[in-house]
Amino acid sequence: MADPNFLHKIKTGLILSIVLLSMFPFQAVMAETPSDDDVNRVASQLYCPVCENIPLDACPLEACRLWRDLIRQRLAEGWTDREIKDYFVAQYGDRVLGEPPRQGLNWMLYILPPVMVFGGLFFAYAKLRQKPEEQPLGKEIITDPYLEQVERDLRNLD
Amino acid sequence: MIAPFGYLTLALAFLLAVYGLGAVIWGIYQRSVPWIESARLALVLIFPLVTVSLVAITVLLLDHRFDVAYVYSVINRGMPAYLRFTALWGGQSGSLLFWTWLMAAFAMIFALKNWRDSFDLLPWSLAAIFLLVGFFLLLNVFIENPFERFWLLPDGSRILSVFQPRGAFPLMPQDGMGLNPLLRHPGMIWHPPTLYIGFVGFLIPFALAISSLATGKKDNRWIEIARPYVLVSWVFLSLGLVLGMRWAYDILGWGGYWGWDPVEVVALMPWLSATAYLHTALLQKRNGSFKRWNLSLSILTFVLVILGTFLTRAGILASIHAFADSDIGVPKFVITAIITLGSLGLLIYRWPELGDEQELEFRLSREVFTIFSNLVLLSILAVCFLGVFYPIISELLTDTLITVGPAWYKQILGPLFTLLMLLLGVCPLIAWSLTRVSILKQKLQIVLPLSLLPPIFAWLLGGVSNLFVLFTFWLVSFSGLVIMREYTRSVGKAWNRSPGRVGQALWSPIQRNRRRFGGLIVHLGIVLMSIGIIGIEGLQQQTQVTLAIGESVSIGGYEFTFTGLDNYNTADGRNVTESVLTITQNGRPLGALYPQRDFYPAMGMAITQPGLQSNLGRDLYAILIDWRPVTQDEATFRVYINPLVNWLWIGTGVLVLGSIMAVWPERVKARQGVTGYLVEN
Repeated sequence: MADPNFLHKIKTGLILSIVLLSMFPFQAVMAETPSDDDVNRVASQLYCPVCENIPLDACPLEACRLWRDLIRQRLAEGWTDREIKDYFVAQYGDRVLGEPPRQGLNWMLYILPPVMVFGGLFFAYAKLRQKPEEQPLGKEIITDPYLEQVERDLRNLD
Repeated sequence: MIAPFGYLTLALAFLLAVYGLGAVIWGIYQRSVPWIESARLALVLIFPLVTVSLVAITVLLLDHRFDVAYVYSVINRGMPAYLRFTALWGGQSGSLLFWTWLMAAFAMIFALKNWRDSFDLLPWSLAAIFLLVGFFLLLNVFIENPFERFWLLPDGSRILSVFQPRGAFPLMPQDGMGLNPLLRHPGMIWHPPTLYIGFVGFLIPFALAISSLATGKKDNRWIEIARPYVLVSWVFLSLGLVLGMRWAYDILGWGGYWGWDPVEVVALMPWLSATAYLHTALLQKRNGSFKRWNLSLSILTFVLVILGTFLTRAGILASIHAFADSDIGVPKFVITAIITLGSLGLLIYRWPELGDEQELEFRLSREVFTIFSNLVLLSILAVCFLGVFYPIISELLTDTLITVGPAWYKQILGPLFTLLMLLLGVCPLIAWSLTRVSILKQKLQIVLPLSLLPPIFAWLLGGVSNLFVLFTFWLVSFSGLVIMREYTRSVGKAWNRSPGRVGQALWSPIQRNRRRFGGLIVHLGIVLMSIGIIGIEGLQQQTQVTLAIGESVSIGGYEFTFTGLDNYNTADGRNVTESVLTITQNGRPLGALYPQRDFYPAMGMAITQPGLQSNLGRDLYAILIDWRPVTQDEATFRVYINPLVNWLWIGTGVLVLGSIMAVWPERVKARQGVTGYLVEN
């Protein structure tokens, strides 16, 4: 009797192999011919490592053209966008990313803005609500006897 | 002789500024009107003197005087006259002189005002203006001198000096280095001057705020005197920012108009605080509230201007705008610190005395909505501040270089701009003091259903499926319709007053209330600009493709066919590679695009000139990326369809029109009696 666990492993392996093999032709075609748009999709998320604030897809420098060629090559090898970005970060540091990664001190960039906005709105709200006696919206408190009489007459008219 | 003459007039202007500062301080101390009057006249005189210097450097630029170091660094013989003229603000010392000249112009206009009824605000305003004009003159006279010339000493060494050193020979290079190719564009004529006027004009509201604080005045006169300066500066700053967008769109070759470059953001920051100020100044005028807030905003705006010039010119910001880095960082830092700490000190000192005359309550009123719009504007400003300074903080604290790019700004600011647009739409519907919900519902009865039509059409006919884009389309439709409603109601009332007179009915509401309708037209301009921004941000399509001659690419229903490539040299020293992309839509010819690449061999730089075809619905925009050099039978293009982008430029025109309407002087009031400085004090 064969070990059921062993059979299960064989079955799983076969299924996985079939799935991977079925994906292979598609992967191979995709990987061999990354279009310029594929390259720009990745390059637009990266910044030129040597220039001042220019996205890699728009940078006219020869060095940037070579980096775009590198992206093309990596895509052809089947690398994902994430892997290519990680590769650039490993080579040139976080500054190549247009959007700072959510880690360490960078969290400041993502936490501070909502704190500032909601804090400001709450402060303004609290300051405006400080008035002690709030009158109901649209209703005046009438203390003048003449005006009270007018109000009564108007109600009687209705 | 021109260079020494230009320098001497500049030095004289500096001495006058020093005298003026001394005279006005002495006048304040002694309460002496003659000393203050003398200082005022000194301020008036500075402008003609700086004008002479400005004319001198312009003549040197137009006359190819390469013995002057500044001229040598920014022009060459191949540059046309208009670019030689614009080179005045193309380098550090020239742009600084131009800045000082504009400052002196604003100061002169301010000094020539009729001061009979507000003389008490004059002395401290003069002191603040002299301090700042004097500072910029000092930079030009001692650090960034545009009149220095090349000299050859007998020992063979070279030296820079305005005046001829003993035994030295003048050096006259045959040609200059020329302007940075990115700056060789018609945009150079208008973008820097409009932006500079916008920045510099905030000097006057700043000086008035300082004066109001220093004298302890609690009334609104400083707001009223500052109003035209704020509006003029605001509209020029708006125009300058948009002209910069157009320039970027035309020359930087990435199919966009705003890249959230740090220098762009730094220029946007004073615009945001000035916009906030323009709204809360109305509240102060109405009921005496927001005194502290308005003083703070006026000061903040000018501090941001000076901080921006410090960050840009000291080379602290990594930016594609860094054309004019120099060593004026330390003095700029010192003046930024002086005006920031000085203003802050004055604000703290006067804070307890500046309570509001009328406290605002939380209810459905224009006042409350104005406060919330103000908070949103300042939140955007705070986000911009964080985005600009975070890379510096990160480098200092963690030694990590960080880029804060468009992706971050769009993610954080997208909701805030959306909220701002909603408030822009709702505010005109809310009355001052109080609005009943029933009245608001009544006002929305027609506007709300009508505002749904544009996004529904965009969805059904335009094929727009992005929900956020459809929502923002609704927002701008709603805001635009609210403005139209306000106008048509006023036209209706005017028609009832004098039936049959169409022209009068259309014009009289604006004529009767220029400030209100000027403001509404400015808002309409912003609505139209938003349409352009939504179009390019939310609906842009692009593709990059390599084509052989005769091959085509299709995008957005248009077909672009590569039909030719040419390479030629121009008289101004460029080597131009120009391509032709013919356009068809459903087989119908629509002309051609001519994207080109200009190479400047002397500087080793290439500039992308996109091919562009525009109409109100879209721009067809193509960039030449690369090509096969010898056979010229294959080229790579990046083609963009930018829907609605032209509404961005049209909206700017409407915004300017509304601003002119709002700032146009009303009928002159009868002169009030003299309230002299001595009488007041």
